[in-house]
Amino acid sequence: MSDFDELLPAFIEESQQHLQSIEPDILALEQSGQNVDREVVNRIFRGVHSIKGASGFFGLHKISELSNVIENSLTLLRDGKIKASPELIDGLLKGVDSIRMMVDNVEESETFDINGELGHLQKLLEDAGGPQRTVAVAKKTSPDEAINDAVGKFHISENDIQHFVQKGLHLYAVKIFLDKDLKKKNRTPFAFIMNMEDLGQYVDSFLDIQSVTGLSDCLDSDLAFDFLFATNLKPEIVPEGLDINGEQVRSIDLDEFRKTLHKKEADAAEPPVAPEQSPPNSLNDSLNDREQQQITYNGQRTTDNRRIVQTEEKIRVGVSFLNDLVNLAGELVLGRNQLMQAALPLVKNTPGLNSVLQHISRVTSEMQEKIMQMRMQPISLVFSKFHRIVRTLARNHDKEVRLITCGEDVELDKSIIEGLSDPLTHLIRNAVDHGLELPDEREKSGKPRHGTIEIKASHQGGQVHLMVRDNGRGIDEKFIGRKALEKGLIRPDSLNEMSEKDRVRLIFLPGFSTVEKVTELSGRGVGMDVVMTNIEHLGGTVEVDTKVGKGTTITLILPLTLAIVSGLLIKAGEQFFILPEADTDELVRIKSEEIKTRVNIVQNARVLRLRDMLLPLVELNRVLGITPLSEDSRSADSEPPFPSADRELQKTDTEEAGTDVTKPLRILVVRHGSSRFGLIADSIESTEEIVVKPLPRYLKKMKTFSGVSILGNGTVSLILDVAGILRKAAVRHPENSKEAEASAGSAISPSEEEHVFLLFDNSTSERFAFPLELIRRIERVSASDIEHVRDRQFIQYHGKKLRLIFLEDYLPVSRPVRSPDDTICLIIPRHTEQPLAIVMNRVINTLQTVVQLDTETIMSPGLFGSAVLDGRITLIPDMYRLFEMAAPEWYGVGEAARTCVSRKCRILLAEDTPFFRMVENEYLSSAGYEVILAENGRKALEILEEESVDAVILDIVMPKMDGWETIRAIRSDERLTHLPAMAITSLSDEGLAEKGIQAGFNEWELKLNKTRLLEKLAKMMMRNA
Amino acid sequence: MKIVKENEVLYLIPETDIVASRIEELRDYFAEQLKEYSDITHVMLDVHGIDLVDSLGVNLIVGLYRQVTSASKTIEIIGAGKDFMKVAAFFRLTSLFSVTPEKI
Repeated sequence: MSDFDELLPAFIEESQQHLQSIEPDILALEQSGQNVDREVVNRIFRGVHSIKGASGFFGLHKISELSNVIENSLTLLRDGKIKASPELIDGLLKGVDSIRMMVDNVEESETFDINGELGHLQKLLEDAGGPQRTVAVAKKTSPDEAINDAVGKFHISENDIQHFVQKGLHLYAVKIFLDKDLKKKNRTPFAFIMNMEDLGQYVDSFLDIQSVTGLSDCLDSDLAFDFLFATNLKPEIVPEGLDINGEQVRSIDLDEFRKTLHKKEADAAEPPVAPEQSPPNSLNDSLNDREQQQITYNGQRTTDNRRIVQTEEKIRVGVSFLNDLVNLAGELVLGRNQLMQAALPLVKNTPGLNSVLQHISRVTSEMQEKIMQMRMQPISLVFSKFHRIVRTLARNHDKEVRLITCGEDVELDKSIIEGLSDPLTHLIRNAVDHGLELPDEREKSGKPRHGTIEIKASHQGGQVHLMVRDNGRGIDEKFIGRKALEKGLIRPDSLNEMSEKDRVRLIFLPGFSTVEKVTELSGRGVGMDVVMTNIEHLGGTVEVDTKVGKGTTITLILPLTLAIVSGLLIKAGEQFFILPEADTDELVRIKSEEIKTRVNIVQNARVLRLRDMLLPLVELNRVLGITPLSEDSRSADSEPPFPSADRELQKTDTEEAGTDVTKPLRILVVRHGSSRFGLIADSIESTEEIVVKPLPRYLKKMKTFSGVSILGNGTVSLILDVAGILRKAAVRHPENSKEAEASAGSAISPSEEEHVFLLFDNSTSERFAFPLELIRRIERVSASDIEHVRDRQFIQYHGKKLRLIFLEDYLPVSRPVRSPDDTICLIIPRHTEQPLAIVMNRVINTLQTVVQLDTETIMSPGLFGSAVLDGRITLIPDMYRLFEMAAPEWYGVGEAARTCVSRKCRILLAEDTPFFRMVENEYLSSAGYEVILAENGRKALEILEEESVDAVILDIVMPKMDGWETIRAIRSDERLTHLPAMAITSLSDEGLAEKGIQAGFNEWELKLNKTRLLEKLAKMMMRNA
Repeated sequence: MKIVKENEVLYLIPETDIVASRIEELRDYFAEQLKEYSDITHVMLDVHGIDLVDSLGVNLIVGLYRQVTSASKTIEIIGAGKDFMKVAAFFRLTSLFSVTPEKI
């Protein structure tokens, strides 16, 4: 194999990458209509140009020729000589398709017939008076003197040029004379530099010192200094800005510059014999080499590697190599876990062993994380093809469709990305084919002629949500039910018991799709079982939300990665199982005396009343058919196999798992999509990073498990599949339980709303409490692991630097004496994205109570106040305020909020619970809003009668008049129709948010999350402004 | 202005801004020292405490560089402040010889 052959795969790979981004860009041109985005044109141009240049190098004339014609078309488009007409877009797409086919079959590419594609585009070019058909490789250009001079004198890379093009900067070669332009104008060099930097960006420079031979003549010479300068200033402005003569500034055409640069590099790489004997190792290598080289000019090699545009060296590695690395990282994590377990008994008597173990553990975690990152790819790789698919489908079905994609930069593991393509394509096809109506039909029903499909990716709670939404006809649940009955997929009695949501989910039944495919009626279902199966295979779930006549939203909820996950080790009988932490929302402890009142039977199912919800309960033992532990065996086996990081929250090893009302009950609140249920295990042990291995063949059919892993003690443990457990337990959610119970106020009197607090101390006599909702988890660490950077303390945590916040530094409380031998606990907050943790000594308890907050007796910034909890005075710190005090750089008020604050916006806050009222008032006031308070909706309406406000924030569950009634009253009042209104609630059902928006709220947010509350409020008001 | 000679290294320490008003004085001083200590192999121009270098200052430094290198010796600048570093980098002096903020 010659060097030439070795390079061909690199050409194919790079060309395919270019083509992947070119196609959506061409479609974007069509969408932009008359307002052609020059940057999009330039981006396509660059991709096509690269393919053209490289194909010419390999002698692939047809690819080169077609690329050249496409390039010419783009030039005319950029210059405004032709329009992005459907004919042009068709021509470009066909041309790109042909290039793709030739690239995919490069050895046969010279036999392809491209006359049709060439003719199509050439006709458009001729009509516009553009360049005639030319063969790119034969075309020689003669760059002007300025460019040749600049290329020879300065160092500038392809990346630099791309950067300038992206930023819309012009490039100038400037010459100044030290005497004439600086000394005679009384300007120091430093002043000149500062002025230049105000105007633009210095790129590279060259000082001609040839006229000076030594000290004797150094003051007689007027040294000339050349530099490259990138700026958005027009050519006529630059001399004025730099205060030099016009002839000292030469404008450089970036395209020409790039061509000359390529040519020069090709010449430089060209060996004395034939080009193919020593081509660059990769198409971009010559550029990369140049970037890595020390700066060279005029044949002189120098040592200055200062660059304005920094580029990072990259290399390509095979996927199999990456997979091997992931497997090895997995083995390393297993080994680390086993080492930690084996060495634990030796730690006490072996000085220094603990820190060595911690170091190994930390490095292993960091390495594993980095390796996993290497496999992460942006979802844009999948999204990019949908524009073309939608365009084609829409044409075939005579529909008008607009596709909107959002969140393309969200990253997922490569294996998940690959597995997503088919299900997403299916959903998109369904949306165009069945979801969206024909234009006339849409018009008749008062909709715009064009339907919209939106694909959106976002991170939510450690998972990725992929939403496919259309504004079509929606799914008729009654029709779906009838069809399922007709096909015998469901029994009539089962159908009658089903909720609307469950009926819609019948589309996921195997066999349902075929029926729908034959009929062409409303509703989806074409192969939706395959979508569901594929997504569940990836460890994800599928949610459907639909409204007849309005549209359908299908949400795929996926894990970030499949290989190594954090799991909660739980026990059923004698066996350990792993529950992925991503599936776990919270751990609830029910006091023995509360079990009777909080665990009830509803609709023949055992449920837990948790805040405003009724949560179905599932016993892991029963689902898995395992005999529960007897008291004796449980106590004998109660010692957990691993040191638990958050044992304070998990002292469950001896507790009863059933409904023994003599012992407290601990329930894992588990989430699957929008469904939540309570899982009761015999004990809850610890968390552990686990390496997911596939289930052995003989366990494949057990749907309650998703994989298997080896624990730190060497035993094998099955990983629970939440979806499978949900199905096997036949969990049914009490119909509209949350909303019904909350609205009726039957379970909890709103005025006596209870909150769950985490009580803790700080190694001093004071006691503290945080609302449990604010806490993600508790970690126990050694004080010796704390690292100091200036006056700040950090700890390495899951590969990140976690900044530690000490209460005594910000609150008027006693200062504890800590020694490096101490173990401390860290409170990891739930709602903050910043790596911060609050240090404490130990958790005392969790307490569900009605809090009577005292905001007068003990007050200080960073404190909400104090309360008597569990018979003791307890300080309740303001977590967000503490963070703001400790890290103001992370917690400044956002741009939007600042705008509003500058106008002193008045916010009406209706909240019945004194604690929340005080907290929310504090949040809003600290952001600069003027807050008017009301205890319920009726009071709020009375205030609105008399006062003018900029926005209202309403609690949903309130006495006298709740949030629903209040917003309806607001929207029915002509004066208040457009008043920005936000709901703030403890009701976490995602479906309620949708209902809230329909009822008239502009935003919907959960309580206590200050950052999101302020962000949403500011955005809402900005929109209204 | 100070000089220090350590073995084959000559330290030139101007202790004054390298600007037009002092430029000829500095040039003559540099030339004198180089002539006197012709046995040195390396010149260290210590610019600590120097706030200003004007265009003639750049000329002088280039002249010093040319003078030293023409005699097959080497030169570097030490003690450069932030502004000095900026000017040295912009005029590519850093590509001719080492310019660092290090002090003696």
